[in-house]
Amino acid sequence: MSDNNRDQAALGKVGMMRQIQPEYYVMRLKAVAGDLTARQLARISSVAEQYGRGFVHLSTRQGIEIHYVHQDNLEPARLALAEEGIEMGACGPRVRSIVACPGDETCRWGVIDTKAMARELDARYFKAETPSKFKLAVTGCAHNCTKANENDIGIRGAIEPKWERSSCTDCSLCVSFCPVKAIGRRETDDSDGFQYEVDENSCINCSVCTSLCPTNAWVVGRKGYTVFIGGTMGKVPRFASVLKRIVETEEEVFDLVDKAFTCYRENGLKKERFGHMIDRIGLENIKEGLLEVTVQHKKQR
Amino acid sequence: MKSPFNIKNSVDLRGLSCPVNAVRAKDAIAALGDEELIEVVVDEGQALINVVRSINDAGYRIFKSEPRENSIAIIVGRRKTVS
Repeated sequence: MSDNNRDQAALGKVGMMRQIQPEYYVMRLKAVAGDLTARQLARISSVAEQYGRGFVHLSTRQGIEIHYVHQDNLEPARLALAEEGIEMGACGPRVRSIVACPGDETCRWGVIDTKAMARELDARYFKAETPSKFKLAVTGCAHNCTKANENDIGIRGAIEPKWERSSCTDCSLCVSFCPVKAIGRRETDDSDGFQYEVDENSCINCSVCTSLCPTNAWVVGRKGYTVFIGGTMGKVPRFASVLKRIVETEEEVFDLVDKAFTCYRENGLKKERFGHMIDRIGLENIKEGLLEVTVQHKKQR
Repeated sequence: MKSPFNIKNSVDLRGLSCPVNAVRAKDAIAALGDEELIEVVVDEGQALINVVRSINDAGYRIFKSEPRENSIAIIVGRRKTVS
């Protein structure tokens, strides 16, 4: 590796990428869950004016990039950003910025606090070295706005609906609005004469029924997180696989994420994405290993 | 629709997209008397979800629904209860 190449790798590590224009760089900034303060935006604006060419580029991972920064200005620009608490993003074979939708803080469909989870994942894994790039996303519900299954690890809010007879007026609207037609009504022999049921195999654990029922007869039975592993887009796309459909505690989510992450670091070949490693070794083998380790881990406590 | 409810008339919102379908539904419901109900016919899928959401948010009440061909007929009133 030449000195020049080594420098490029070092700069990439701190979120600075060489442009095709000699001596000019892209500064990739970090925004966990896509959040920046207005003050930070103002500072990014002034840095782009002063050291870039007065524009910014929005990345697909909720980040901002400042383009056309001359190599001599990288350090002063970085310091000016750091003054407002703006950190550099990540490039190369390491954990990238954690993306997240707004979650249950502001969205009617959100069932989990996506931003808190994204911040915790950021604190634990951001910029950790991996065999290839490694992307994590947190999305609040099955609408999947931040595309959990396009990421190496995706976490998606999930609910299991429960029908409460006492509130139901038998309007049958849920049978129609369920996006996957998982809700059915059937006649019964008891005094009620009817019952609504959800087919667990086709239910996608979204929150449409619990949010839209006019009389709140569909309530949240269990709430948790679906953990996906091995998603990627890029040259050889692969949709993520479900590691576990409903994980009820945050603690278990972090445990599973940690196991999956460690498994990839130990078994992934250089430049091999997590999902392709899973295909090479076998999904069932990987899942069995990860879920088994989690159970053992619990027993030790 | 065979129904014990006193339905004033019907609004056909098929083919309309959000937010026009939801706005028209709410306008029609707002014009009802306290004891009156209206039938709203809406496309299945996302249109149904949007219209139901708007009706719920406005504090109106859906009493009954009936699937039709590629659409749903819903019976709505202005008040939370019907006498």
